[in-house]
Amino acid sequence: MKFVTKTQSNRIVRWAAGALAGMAMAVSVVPAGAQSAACVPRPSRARLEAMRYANMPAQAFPFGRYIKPYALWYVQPDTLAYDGAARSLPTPDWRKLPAINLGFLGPLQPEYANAAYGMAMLRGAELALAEANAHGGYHGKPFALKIHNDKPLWGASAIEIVRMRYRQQVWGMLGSVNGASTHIALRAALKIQLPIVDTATTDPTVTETRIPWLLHNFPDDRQQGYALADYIFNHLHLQHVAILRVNARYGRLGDKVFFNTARRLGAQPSVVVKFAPYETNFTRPLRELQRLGMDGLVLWANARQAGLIVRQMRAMGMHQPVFGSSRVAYPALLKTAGASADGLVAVSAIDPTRLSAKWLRFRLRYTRRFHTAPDAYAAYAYDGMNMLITAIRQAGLNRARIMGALKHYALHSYRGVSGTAFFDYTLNNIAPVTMARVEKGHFIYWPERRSDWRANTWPGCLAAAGR
Amino acid sequence: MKTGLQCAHWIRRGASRRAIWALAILALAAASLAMRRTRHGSQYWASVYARRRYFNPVDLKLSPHGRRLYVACEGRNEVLAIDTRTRSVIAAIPVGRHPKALALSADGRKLYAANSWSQTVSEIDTRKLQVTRTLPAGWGPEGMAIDAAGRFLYVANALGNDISILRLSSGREISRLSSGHFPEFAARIQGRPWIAIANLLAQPGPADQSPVDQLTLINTATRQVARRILIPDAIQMRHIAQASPRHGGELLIPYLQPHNLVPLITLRHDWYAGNGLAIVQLKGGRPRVREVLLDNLDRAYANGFGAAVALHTPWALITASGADRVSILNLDKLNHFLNTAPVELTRRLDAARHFIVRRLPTGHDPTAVVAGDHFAYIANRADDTITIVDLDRLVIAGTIALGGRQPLTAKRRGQQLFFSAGHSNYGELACATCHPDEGFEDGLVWSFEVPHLGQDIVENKTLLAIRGTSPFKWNGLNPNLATQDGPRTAMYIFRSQGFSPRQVQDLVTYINARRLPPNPYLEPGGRLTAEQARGRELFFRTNTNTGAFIPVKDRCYTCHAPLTHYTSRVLMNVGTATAEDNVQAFKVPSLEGIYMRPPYLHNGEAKTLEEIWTKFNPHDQHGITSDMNKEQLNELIDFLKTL
Amino acid sequence: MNSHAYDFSMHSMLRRLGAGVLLAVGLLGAATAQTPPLYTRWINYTPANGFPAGEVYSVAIQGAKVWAGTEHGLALIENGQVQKVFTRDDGLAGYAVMSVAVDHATGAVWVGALGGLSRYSGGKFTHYTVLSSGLANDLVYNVAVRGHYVWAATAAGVSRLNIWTHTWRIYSVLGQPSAPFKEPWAYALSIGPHKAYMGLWGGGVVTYDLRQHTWRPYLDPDGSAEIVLYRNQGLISNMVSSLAHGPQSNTFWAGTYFGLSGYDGTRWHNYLRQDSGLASNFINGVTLEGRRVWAATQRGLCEFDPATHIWVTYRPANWRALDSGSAARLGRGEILITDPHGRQRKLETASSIAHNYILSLAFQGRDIWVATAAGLSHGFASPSRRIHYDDQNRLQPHARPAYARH
Repeated sequence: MKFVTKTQSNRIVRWAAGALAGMAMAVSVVPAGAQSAACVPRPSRARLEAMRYANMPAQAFPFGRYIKPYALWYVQPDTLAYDGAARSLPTPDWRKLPAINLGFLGPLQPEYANAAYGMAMLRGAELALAEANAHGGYHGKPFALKIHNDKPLWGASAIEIVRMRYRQQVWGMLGSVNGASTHIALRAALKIQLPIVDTATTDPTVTETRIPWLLHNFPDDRQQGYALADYIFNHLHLQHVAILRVNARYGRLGDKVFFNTARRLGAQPSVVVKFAPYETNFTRPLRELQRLGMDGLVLWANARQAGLIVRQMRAMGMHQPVFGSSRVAYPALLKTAGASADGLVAVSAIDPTRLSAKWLRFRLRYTRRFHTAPDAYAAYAYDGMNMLITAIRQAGLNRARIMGALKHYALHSYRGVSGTAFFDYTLNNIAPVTMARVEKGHFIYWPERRSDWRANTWPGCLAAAGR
Repeated sequence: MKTGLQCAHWIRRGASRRAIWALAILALAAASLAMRRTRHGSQYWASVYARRRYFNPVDLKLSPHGRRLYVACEGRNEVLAIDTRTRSVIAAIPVGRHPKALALSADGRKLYAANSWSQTVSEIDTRKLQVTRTLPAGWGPEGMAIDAAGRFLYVANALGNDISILRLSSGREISRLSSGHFPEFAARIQGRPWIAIANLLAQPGPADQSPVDQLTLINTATRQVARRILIPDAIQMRHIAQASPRHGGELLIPYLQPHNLVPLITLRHDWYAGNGLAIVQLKGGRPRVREVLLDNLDRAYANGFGAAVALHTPWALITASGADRVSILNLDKLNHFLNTAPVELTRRLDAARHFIVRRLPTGHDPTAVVAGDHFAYIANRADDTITIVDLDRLVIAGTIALGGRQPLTAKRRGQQLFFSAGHSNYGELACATCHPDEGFEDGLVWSFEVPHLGQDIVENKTLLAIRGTSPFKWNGLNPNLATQDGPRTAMYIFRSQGFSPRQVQDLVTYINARRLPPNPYLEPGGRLTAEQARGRELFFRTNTNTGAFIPVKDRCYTCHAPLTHYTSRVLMNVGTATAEDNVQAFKVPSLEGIYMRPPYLHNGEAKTLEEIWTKFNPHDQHGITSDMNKEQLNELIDFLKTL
Repeated sequence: MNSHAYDFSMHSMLRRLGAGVLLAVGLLGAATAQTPPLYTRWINYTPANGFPAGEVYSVAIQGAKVWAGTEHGLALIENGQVQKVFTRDDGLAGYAVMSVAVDHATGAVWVGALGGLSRYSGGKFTHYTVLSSGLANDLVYNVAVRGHYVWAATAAGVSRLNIWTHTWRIYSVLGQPSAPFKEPWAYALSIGPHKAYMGLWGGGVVTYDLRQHTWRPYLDPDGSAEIVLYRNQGLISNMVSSLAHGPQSNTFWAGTYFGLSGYDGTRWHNYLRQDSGLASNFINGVTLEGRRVWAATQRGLCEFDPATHIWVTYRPANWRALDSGSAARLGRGEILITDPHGRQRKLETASSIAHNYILSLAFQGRDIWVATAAGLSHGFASPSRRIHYDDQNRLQPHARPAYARH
């Protein structure tokens, strides 16, 4: 049987064109009703088609040098097609509702890892909600946030999304930080038809599921892995790097993307060392790495453990450059590592030092309200909540239509306080990430400039990001 | 070849004494083996006096023609056959451990005994009076019934909380159905394709709600659960009797109405528990449950147990094991009362006067009752006797003594006290009221008044295997059993003069002798499964999953020390105190037999073992468990269930 | 040597004989080649006739009773009437009922819901949740009963309850021995007599040999979610949503959100919308009925015969209008037949399945029950309405098999 249709062969050709063209990041119009988004002309159809999944470097494409795959996913406009019946569900009379409920799922208990991220996320969401209510809410009805703690013990938080949906009648939700929690919520969301705006996880697989109920705006491990690999191998031309990563889902998935990209770039990491999330002494693995004489170390860990590693390796006389994931670029690194951290380069989800008016205004409002400075989690949550609110205002009280409004962001950008997001067909934000280097006890930020942008440098990117 | 005379001469000549002893032992062994198969007549009596154990008859079955009475004696691991004409024991058939119930085939040829401690059913040929097969059952088989076609045996497994269906032709278990909590009694329903199973205990439910017991009906055509009838405010449903079609065909089940959640200060001059009768009316499509009390206003008939209906008479007999009485009901009057009296009247405390026609004395602790055409028989567990009731004249017609050791031992006297309500105010309750089945627990949370109204709500605890686990009470204020059973019981529970010092000593002797049934979670030989073994490692672990050192005080085995029955016998604050508690630290309970006694924690808040840690240990005060994953918690519980 | 020659000869004879028989059967089949009857008449259970609103996730048959797991509880249909809808107020452990399984030995109905596992027996529910029992997680997507084991696919692995011993076991990466689950989110279960087949969302298919206690994972061999490297490369995607095992050990069909995969014990047979009559690559459920494979997709109910490679899709004729959220009402039904040569025939029926978004299905004798996004559909086969095809499996243009005027 030969079922390779004309449509399919065209698609392959288009994919190949895209691969050769490199990144064709197109600045586009925003969906109607997205009030805070940039407004730039829509690019040509051909340019959009050249847009590849996940902003993947051509060299990183699986088996790209050897064979055309039989089928490609995530590059079709109907990637997140939803043919169910939820759009036809009756819309309740909003006048009879006391409030328009929105859900929040994030780690909030201080004793849990990631609680700091969860709290920042919550504050960002609350600020967005407060501002939306100050601007009239939904036809005068206030939006109300139903806060649920993402508690990992005994898998108790798995049921939170179900409670949100049925007990509290939320119309959409934000969450979560933990990749596994987000996955679990996503799977439930497919069944109970609840839009999720995920503003915090770096798990790259949440947007691979084809579940048409999620939009993700936080730079994921794919974006981070591609950026780091490009920086390390194409800019610095290092060859032998080792990966040290926490033995948890966060490290496992981040390591995978970076490792595969490095391998496809011809610089397969020689060593991958895993360590326990509670480990504080890294002397033994570092000694092994010292013996192997690596060119550099890539850390996929939280900031504190990264700080300990850097401090201990410098104390051992290891002066190789160190690179890290987005959770490394946090003040805890500077506090733990001290001067040892100088020179470390990490991906950052945000540039908090930029002078964008949007960001500065947000920072001011946030600081006034919460008496602390916003971080990336707060900023993305603020943006995500605004996207959700906009979608609700646009679509009304029907969850499928709300999700439909969010789907209009596919191949469109959204200019928020965190920068300008751009979404692929999986509704994943694939905008360039920020890089950060530690210099004299401070992070110095600069925008990612991947080597494969030459042909199609995204001229609107920097401008849209508000620089 | 030596003749007998030559042998005698050989012996007289002083042949080897060892040889003589060997021969004598061989002869005794052969005789013993012969007697083990069946002991008839005089052999039976010889064996009675040769052994020291009491019979403890707990169930009866009457042959179809009424000439033979079969008695399950859990104390002796035997089934007795009694000739009802001569009123004498004709055979004792050894069966498995702790036979609790009997079932007889419709033709009377096969008798089945549920061996509750052996997890088996013995099949007895009633002509040969021998065990012909031993069939597998579930955990703690305690009740049985055979379907109308005689093809399947339904076995209520008290410890497994389920019902085994055995195909009698093959002797194999073909299915196991879930029941309520602690199913103990089973009966086939005439006129419907049903087997009814009465559950002793209520399902663990919300602490602030009254218990609800369950009657499970199984459809014998589909061998599936047809209906689960809920009996509100009820526990300890016992034997099931069915009225004749002429009298409505309803089911009669004695049960207990506990007033456990009513602060007992309000009941000081009233009662802890009512002794009721559930009447399940089967007419129409949906069974309807009516309830009446069997007590009098001035006297309780504690712990209803056996139930039987004399088919050709209007009489129903209900034994009260705590009152040493059998109550005789007139079913016509009962039906008339239920059909005509307002509901409020049927619920009155003196309702029994409308339908009870006679209260006859029995022996100690009357349990099962069966009725023939002219006589009914009652098994007196703590007496080793069978009381015979003349159904024509409604008088005691005689007693069959099964034997048993004389004079009574202290343990036996203690047993009689344990089951007797005679020492409590109005004869309201016995030790066995709250600790049914010789020391088990009723699974309820009680609201005692001391010292303040509605405070210190505590869960009832088992009396099985409590020797060496003092002090007692949730707050550890009673240093020993004598204190617990003496003044405290007299003042707060019995509200009477209580027991004499000697009686207390007898009672303590009896309670200290209570043992746990064999643990079904343990593999033969006491081996642990791989999961249980890993759970054991968790129980004895000294480091968390993250490698952190667990302080000695936070380790499982510190408080639940294996060498002292898994209790350190001290008070510990494990963060489970609530606003109702006047103390923060509670006595560390023993973990032995913990699988069979939900709910858990001092106030019964945890309905399952899992909940102890998933719900009530948020800050790792009850051992460090928050680092465990669910797989580990399951394994820890797998191990705990083997204790 | 002689014996070897003799054996070889016998083997050869048997093979020839077998081939001859197959040929004869094939020829006979070709002469009268026709597919099983088409489902041409539908009765739908929707809120209009007392059925709960929202999606219907699962359906199970217990004799004359039909149990449907819906977004708003467990519905019981008997004698063509909705007898009862059980909700949390009636004792259900959760809200949306994802899966229903009938224990035909005990008559108990096991209900997997977003909120835990429930057993319905004798008119009463019993709960099992992660906090009160050994259940791995409260999001239960699938439940299956075999012997005295109840299996539950949860968001944290597969749980197994032994209803005789009341002991739980969790099959997950953290269990011992550790299950080779790439991801812990179990979604699909199919329990054979000797093997448990587990479908993991993101973790492919994993089989567990119940006698040997050994594992075997089946994963997307290219290791990349974004591509299918070769058509029949192996499992088409690791996002497995549904499973059905075949009568032979080690054979199964897996429904994914990226197409349909079949494994015959040796080779893989993958089907995409692009290369077959599969209506959509987004598959919610897969069921085997004899040799026929049924795929519940979001664009229709697909029936596939691996022997003829003919696909039949059932859906509303105006399904695109239904999908758009407009006020379109359900009208005529559509049957789309696709042969392996790409020929298609579209037939219309007077009644239609309730919606194109299909979640699962079950058979009750010759009837089919289909869980859709907008109600439960009861389909009736029309014995006289069949598809005729030639010995090349080509649809016969002159055959008039299926236009039904019911």
